[in-house]
Amino acid sequence: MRNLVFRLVSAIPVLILVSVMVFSLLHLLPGDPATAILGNEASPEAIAALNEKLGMNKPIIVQYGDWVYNLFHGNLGNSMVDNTPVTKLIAQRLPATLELTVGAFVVAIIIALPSGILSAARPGTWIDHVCTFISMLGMSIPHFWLGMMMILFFAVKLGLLPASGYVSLTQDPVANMEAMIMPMIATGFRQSAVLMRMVRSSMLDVMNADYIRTAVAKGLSERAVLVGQALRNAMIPVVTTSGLLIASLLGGLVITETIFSIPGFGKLMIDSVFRRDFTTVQGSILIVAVFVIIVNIIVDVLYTFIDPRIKLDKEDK
Amino acid sequence: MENNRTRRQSVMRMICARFIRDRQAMVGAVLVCILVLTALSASVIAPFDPIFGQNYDMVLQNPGTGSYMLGTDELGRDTFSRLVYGSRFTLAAAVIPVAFAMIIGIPIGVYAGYKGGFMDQWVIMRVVDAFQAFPSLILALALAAVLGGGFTNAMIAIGIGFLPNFIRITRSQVMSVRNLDYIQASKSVGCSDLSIAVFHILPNILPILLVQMTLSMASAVIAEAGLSYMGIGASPEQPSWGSMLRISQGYLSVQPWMAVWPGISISAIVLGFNLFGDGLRRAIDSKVRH
Amino acid sequence: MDKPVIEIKDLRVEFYSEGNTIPAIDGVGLSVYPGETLGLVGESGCGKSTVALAAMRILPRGISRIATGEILFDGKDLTKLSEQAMRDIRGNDISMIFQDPMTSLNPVYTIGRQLREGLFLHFDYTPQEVDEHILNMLKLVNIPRPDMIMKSYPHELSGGMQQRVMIAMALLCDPELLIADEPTTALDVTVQAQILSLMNSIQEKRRMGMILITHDLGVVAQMCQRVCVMYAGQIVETAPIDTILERPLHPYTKGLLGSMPDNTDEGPLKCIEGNVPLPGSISQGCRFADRCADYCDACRTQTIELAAVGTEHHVRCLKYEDKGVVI
Repeated sequence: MRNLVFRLVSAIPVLILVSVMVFSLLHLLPGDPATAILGNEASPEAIAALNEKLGMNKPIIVQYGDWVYNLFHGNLGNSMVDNTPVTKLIAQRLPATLELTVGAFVVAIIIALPSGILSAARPGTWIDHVCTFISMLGMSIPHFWLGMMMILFFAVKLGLLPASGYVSLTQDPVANMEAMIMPMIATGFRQSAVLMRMVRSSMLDVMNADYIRTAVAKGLSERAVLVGQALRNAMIPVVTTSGLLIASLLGGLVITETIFSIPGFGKLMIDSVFRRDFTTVQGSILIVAVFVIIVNIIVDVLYTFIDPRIKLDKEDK
Repeated sequence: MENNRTRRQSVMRMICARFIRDRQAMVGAVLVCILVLTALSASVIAPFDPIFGQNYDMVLQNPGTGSYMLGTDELGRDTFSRLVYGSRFTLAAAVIPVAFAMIIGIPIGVYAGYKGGFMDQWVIMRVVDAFQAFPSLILALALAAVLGGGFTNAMIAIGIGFLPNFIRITRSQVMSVRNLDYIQASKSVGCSDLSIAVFHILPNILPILLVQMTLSMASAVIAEAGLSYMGIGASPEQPSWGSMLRISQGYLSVQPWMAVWPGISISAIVLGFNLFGDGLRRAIDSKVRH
Repeated sequence: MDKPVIEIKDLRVEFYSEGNTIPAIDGVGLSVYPGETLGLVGESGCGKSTVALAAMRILPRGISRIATGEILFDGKDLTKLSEQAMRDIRGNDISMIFQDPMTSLNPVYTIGRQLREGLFLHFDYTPQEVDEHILNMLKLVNIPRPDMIMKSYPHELSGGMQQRVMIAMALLCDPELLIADEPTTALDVTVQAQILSLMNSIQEKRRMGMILITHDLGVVAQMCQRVCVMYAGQIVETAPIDTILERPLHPYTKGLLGSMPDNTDEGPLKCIEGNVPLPGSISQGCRFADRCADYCDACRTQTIELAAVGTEHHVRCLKYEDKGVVI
């Protein structure tokens, strides 16, 4: 309990810092925001008008306060391009990104878990070398290039899968999968690399533990020892680093959505950057940061549930 | 003092010996050397001009046509020459952001780890947490939106992305070392904190920081390639491997080889840095295990 | 005379890494009879744990192996058994308990789950029968409130309780042989006594053979009927407990006994000069020669076998070789 409270409390300054960082993004622009948006050719009156509209003339603290106030009311401002509320824009794009995130994570686990366990069970053998090398490749091959190669091979050459074009899951699951499978694999493969090494090293640590020796001395088969006894313990550090994995995943999705033209959250961000739609950029980045912080808190809490030794509010017998 | 130094020297020698025996690590070292050599001697190796060597008669050729070893791009420029010159961008991308992150991050990490206290717990680490809440690519995106695109800004953005990691790792290493006996001994003799940090703590954490450095270089190369690919990093004429990929995507169905070579190069170099860093880590670990 | 429960003959275990092969134990032979406790004594690193791990065939894979020798149990040679057949024996006919009970229990599972595992594995009981067995066993090892303990996690128990759980776990399948590797070393002195007397009483009831591995001669005196003394991977003396305590023959055994603090002694503690040799460093002659007050040149060059010097008394020392019969 005490741990959890400390965790939540220490997240507050982080959230404040994050909000300040995101807020000041707009104000880091060289010159004033209005000129940045309208361009240098715009008339001084237009610039002045926009600056007034953006509230640039108020003292900065007040601007920050207004902005935070709006945040708490779920208002992230409006897009500078078409004036739609940023929240609405993001909500539209979220499903695709969410699906990609989950899919990539699943792919990563499907690759990393068996190979990590296998490598740890047979360290130093050819299986270990092959799996480790594959994970090396996963870390080294840029996932956007992998995506391009997949498009080249499966779409252009073989015509099996579409190169782009997104259909929502609810509309047509099959078409959705056809469009999403390549980006999921491309992103997931990269994530699996880091995950696999974690699983492997964690399993190796666990396999050297005394209680594994006890299990073997009881007559348990190797599989029972690996899956039954070792895995549960080995997963603990893996779960705790999954939080970092999610953050990295989100970063990678920006490019992936661009390559495969998937109308997701990441593509929204990059498009907004190019269209100089600063409010959308601002709002999107804030959402991402808050999401990452929340995921990390959840992972920390999860940790206390998985490891029985960390039950702080249970009495010792 | 003398004892420590001689012990460190023999440890260094042992680590080097182990590293050399490690085949994978040496492969990584070779790849990194190839990168450095190519970058340094680009003007000598490349047969054609990478930016201005357009040849509109030989556009989008396959590898092996004439003297175009790896084919040509949409303006008739030799892909191989562009690749060779692009290695300079790759090298810069590997070195600059990481150097930036280390020069700023390591002192902060040492301070945070050594002094601890309020400044460390509530100020430095919270700032680090805040930075880490932004996936590095998205951080780079945001900075690009504000500062504009371009290679230099991309370098800064990537460097800032590495800062939290270096601070964290340095800090935790320092924390594990600071209570060792001979540190206490130095303190009790009256050495200043600064001299302890520089002469006693840093040399001990250096190996791990070197490992982190090489692995970060690998990440930096991929990050720069990604940013250039999206159009936020190097501009299209600059033959950064990432921007080469960007251009090639438009011609994927017409001349796929344009996309293949830059990607292979990036993968190879990143693999090199990763193998190097991993080999380094193994060489250091074995020393610990003894 | 009963047949021995287990008989180890001429066992040699090698550790190998990076091209080097080191013999951890060499020419080790011993036997244990039903209802008897055999003490296996020696300093850290002498190889006594290796003997135990070899008997169970749970030597660390990939870096060690049984080079030669026989381990006869229940009419079979364990060194030649398939892994599957060994698994049937482990935890069932031969059980082992280890030194540190805290780390020997899986921290993420309840005690009950870990205890049930062995029974389900080796027998075909219903869940109710399994739980009944376990509760009875927990009562046998004097664990209070066994039903609550079943639901607890290892870290919630004290060291003494954990070791009792380990003992219970080892005895659940009614093994013929129990190997106990330093079972009380990690426990408080007061708890030690309790655990030892518990093991004694259980063994008497079940006519179970027991190998007690320890470096503590006090424990040996309390528990064992016969003793094997090991040094640097070899057995240097084997004898009944009284003989060892009153008439030790091997210089090392004498040194061990002499170094035990005694209330009536005055002056500095006696110790054996020198250090234990690194495994594999002495291939010829007596391994104790460097530290022996009585050595002669032949000690360093001749291969010395275990020789019988009395009823059930064997010594590996040149001084007695001609007096006895070489085995």
